[in-house]
Amino acid sequence: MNHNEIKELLYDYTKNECAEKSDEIKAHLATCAECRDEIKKLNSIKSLFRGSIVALPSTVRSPYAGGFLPAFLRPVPAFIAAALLVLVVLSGINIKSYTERQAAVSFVSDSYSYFLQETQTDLLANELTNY
Amino acid sequence: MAHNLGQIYRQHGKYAYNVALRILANKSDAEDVMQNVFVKLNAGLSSFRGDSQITTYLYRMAVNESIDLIRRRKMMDAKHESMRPPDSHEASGAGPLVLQEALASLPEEQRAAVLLCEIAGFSYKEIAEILEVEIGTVKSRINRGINKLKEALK
Repeated sequence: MNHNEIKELLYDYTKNECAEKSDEIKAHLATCAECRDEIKKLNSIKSLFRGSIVALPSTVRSPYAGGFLPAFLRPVPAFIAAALLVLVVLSGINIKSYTERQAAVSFVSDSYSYFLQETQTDLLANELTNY
Repeated sequence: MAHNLGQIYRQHGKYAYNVALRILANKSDAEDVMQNVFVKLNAGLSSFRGDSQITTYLYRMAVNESIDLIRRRKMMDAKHESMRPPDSHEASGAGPLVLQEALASLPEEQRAAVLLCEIAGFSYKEIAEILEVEIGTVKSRINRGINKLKEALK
């Protein structure tokens, strides 16, 4: 290969995409300042790309965060489980006081609201999928 | 077949997002595209044969949805040219201005191939699979793109 042919392969060489010609290119680089300079330019472009990489914003949520089970089968937070347990227990107790009944209703209602909030994203995703 | 989607999200989400970000040159658009991609990927989960196929689809959808969005925007701009303020990469939150401006000079297909190579680190063979083109086409797009970037970054 002549100088121009090798120069056109330099990017492929930096990406290890022309293994069969790499020995010839390496030998040419040892004697050609222009091609060595070209490799430097390519490496500076690569550095620019590497330096531009940013983190995935937290606003892009993983739809897999809760595992791959349908929403209604996913594990619920411990306190929601506790709330359900309390509901079961309360259903077996004769609560006479109005205040006690109200407190129990509020507790279960609040827990359910939290649960709905937690699963809102999954429900939205399912709606989009079915749309 | 069981898929380790959580790991794919953690391992590739960042790089697929960066590919979309550099194609679109707009942080907010890239976030919308990636959220859409993850929802669609999750919905089509049963049709994938393995994790490598999901990874290929993740990048393919990120690229295609980004390019589609650019083309839709261009059509909208053509209709409402007089109403739209001029583009500002600095205001878009897309990162290094010099790189973004140089990338903007590339056709979308060259930009996507270069980004998959430089941001995501894929081989030409993998990029050919993602973009559904021949390896020779990938090689040509990347080399032309890199040559234009060299000129633009002089």
